[in-house]
Amino acid sequence: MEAAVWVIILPLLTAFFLGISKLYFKRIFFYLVTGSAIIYLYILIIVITHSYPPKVYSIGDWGLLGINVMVDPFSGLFLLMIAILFLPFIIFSMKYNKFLKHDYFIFAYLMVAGISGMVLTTDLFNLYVFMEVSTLSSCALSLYKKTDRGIEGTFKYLIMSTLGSFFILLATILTYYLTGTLNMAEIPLAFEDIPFKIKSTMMTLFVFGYAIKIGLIPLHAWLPDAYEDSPIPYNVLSSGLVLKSAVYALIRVLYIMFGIDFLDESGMLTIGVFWGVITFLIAHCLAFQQSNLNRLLAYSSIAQIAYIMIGLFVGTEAGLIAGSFHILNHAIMKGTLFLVVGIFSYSLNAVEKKDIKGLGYKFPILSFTFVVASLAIVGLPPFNGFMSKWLIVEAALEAGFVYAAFFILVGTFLSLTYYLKVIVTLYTKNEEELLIEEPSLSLKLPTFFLGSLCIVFGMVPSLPLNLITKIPTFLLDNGDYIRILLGG
Amino acid sequence: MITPGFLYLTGALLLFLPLHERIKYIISFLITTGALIVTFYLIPGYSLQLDFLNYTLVPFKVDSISKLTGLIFAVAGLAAVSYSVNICSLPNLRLIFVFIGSALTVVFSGDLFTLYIFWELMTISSSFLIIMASDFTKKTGYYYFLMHVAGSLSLLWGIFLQYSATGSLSLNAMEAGIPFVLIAIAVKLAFVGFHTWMPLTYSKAPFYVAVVLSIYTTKVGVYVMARLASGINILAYAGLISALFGIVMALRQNQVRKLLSYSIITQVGYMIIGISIGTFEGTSGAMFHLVNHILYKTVLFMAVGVVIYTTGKDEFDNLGIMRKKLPLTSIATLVAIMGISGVPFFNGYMSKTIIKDALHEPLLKLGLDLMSFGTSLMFLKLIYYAFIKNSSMNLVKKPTISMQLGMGLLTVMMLLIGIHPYLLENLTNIHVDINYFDKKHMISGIKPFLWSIAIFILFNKYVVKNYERLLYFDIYRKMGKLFVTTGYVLSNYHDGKLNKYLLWATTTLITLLLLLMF
Repeated sequence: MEAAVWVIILPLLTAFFLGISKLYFKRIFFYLVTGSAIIYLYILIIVITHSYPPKVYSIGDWGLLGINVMVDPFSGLFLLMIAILFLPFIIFSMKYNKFLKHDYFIFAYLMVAGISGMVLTTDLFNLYVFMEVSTLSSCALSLYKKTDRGIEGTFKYLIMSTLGSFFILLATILTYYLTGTLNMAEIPLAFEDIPFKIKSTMMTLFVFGYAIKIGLIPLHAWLPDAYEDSPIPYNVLSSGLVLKSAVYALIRVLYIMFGIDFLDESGMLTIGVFWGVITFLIAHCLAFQQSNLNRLLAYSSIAQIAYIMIGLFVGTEAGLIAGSFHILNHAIMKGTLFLVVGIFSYSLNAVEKKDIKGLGYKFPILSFTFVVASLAIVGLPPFNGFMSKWLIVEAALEAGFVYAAFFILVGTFLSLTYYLKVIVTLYTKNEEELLIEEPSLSLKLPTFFLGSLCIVFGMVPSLPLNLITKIPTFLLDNGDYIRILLGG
Repeated sequence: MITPGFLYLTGALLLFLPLHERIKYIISFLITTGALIVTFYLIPGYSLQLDFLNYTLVPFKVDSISKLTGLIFAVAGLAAVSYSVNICSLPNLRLIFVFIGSALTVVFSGDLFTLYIFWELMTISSSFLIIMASDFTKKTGYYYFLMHVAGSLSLLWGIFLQYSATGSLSLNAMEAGIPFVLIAIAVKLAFVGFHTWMPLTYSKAPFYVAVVLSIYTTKVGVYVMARLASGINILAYAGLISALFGIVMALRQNQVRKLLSYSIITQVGYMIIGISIGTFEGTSGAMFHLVNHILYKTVLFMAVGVVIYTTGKDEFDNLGIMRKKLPLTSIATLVAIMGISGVPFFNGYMSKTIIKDALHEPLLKLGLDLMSFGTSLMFLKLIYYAFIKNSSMNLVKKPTISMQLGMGLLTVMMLLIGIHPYLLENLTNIHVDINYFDKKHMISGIKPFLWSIAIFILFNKYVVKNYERLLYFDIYRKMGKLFVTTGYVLSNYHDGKLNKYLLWATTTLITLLLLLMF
């Protein structure tokens, strides 16, 4: 079965054909975009259902020399996120961009190709290349509005992420220089002879590079700036997939290449958890100050990713499950929030907190969706965010990080302060006449879909957890992963 | 098996149906009476198990204490819904149903996970009820929500500590994390120092919201305290202090509903004392007091609600309308006041007697008398305004029939319990060996009331006086300010200059290198 390869190829091809259709056949544009997205969804579902036990596909039968693609539950989770977010994103963007532009969808498909490449590849250099593909197309998308603020934010985004890429590339080159291979299965075997100091230097470079892309404080500053004036549906993918793919790459590199024992020994786990705690505390304080909803949600993204980091860095099975679950949940919750804000900005150009005053009575169901998603992201039951936070706290306590567990609850309280402010503003009566363009069904449907997932995954968490509970098997013990990769 | 809480939650969902106005009444009636009947026929000892993730949960478990509490919750639910069904809008009615449903589920929950989830659901639904109910309650709702979430997070932390210490989520007395659980309970039952949300909310929210909230919020706190933290003797003194504080504050209020709020703090003091004794008599006394308190406090809030509904305000002077124009409300109020003052042959007397009988420390006994005295005094003030002082108020509109029905139901129950206290005991099979109507108990019950009448007559001008509004120091607002200021200072660092970002990045790199290499 070669479907896994098509996960990367299909969006690339679509982007290519979109470019051609711009020149020659403008009419097939709509069918091309939606048709390809639907086929893509189908392929993704096939690949996800076959993600356990992991399978390796070697392209062109070159064995370990060629490009290998591997699907394991952790990459399956990310493919699941693409499957959940991508089609709603396409449907929403079709309507949201008031006049169609080919470039937007070309870059969107390129970005998804990059991300799916990142989560499937088993080669360190390919990982870097795919990451650059997704980052650069992501920059292009955030520039899409071409306003002054958008350009400034994108410029900062570009500079900072290039800085990160530089360090990742540096570390990749060092790895190749020291081990003579870039295959993720062979590196850990060759790593055994390398002295501790050099290994930890390399790890520092990797961590630093990816931390910029993830946006941990104080490397976060580009993120709110870039979100402030970018097309809002893009923000859904950006916070849902682009940031998370950096988390994926970091975890993959650390757990597979360096191994859990080395992480423990070098103190990386402690640093990771501590960094996470600092990050979400500061991010919550800053989010309270924002008046622009996009910036507020950006800061909230930073905080949520810090929770994910804590989950993934406590270094136990429960922690990996909890962190991965929160990755999925955050993508859904933040997606819902951004889409609702997107509709507000579409209908009456409201992105400031004061602009949305009284909209709770104008859009009752949409506002209800917003309330559900924000309560979920705060971590109140019975929504999905609560389940994953419960698991994270439990894992942190089990692993002995009592302070982290305690501060997660403090963070929950802090995040309520600013989300509740937005909600109260939504439901404050506004006497002003508002000029409203009624949002159409193709805007509302994706929003409601994601919003209902918040409730479904909260009530029936075993649904996604079936896939997620298999993740630690191939991360915690890198031996299994290596065996499968070398054997295939 | 259908649980009463589940019934209410289904009711909330049913109200989403595109409704005709009349179906709203039918659904409300069916759900509330259905829940009451289901609760009445529950058999103590029944429990329900459910596997959820790795935990075995017990979402439903009945014993005599939870049955008693559930029963009074269901009765009060029936009364409160029929009181407010006419007045409140459909979304608010849904929220009321969710609120009552989750309160009932908390009462019948058999494990900490379920307890926490529905405890939080109570917070969420009641906060939105406050926020949505009127234009003036946005800030109050914000304050209420934050305060209660802080409390429930503290409960969650206590649960986590308990879970990691014992490895089980079953609902027993806590072994670890007791301070955190106590904070959570203190917020819920408005213990002094954690009470700031209550007078604020109950005086600002629309009257039917105040009625519904006053029934469940504090009482769930009491119930959970009886479950998780009973028998901590030192807390009896804390309860006493809280109650005395409530009396002092209540006597200074100019708004009836604020007086009632502070009086809740006093009454909850009784329950804290009862629970803290830890004996069977103490706990059952506290639970009976919970029942009685729900009855008379709800009637009082409802009566004040009628006054607000008919005159528009809840100043003391407006109470004068009762004597002239609202005969039914007057009777209900009188019965409730007699009950709350603990006069023999009214319902409050019964539970107060049990608690007093269970007490053995002289200081606490004295304190209890003082509390009864203070309670009577503050309600004499109410009687004075309502029935003695002349007033020239006029009805703006008439109270609706469903309002009076809800109030009447509870009043009849109060009278029944007052005259025949064994009714409650028989109903739940909790038998306290006390002869309520012997001379000793009667005298000790009536004494504080008579004293308070004497004091009221003598020092009339101090009690019946318009006090200046006390400016009080609210530590929570100060903490909030600290948080906002910190955020402001931090956000000033983020000024959008790229070279600053790069400086931060370099610093991080160096720090990381230093940390990981050495």
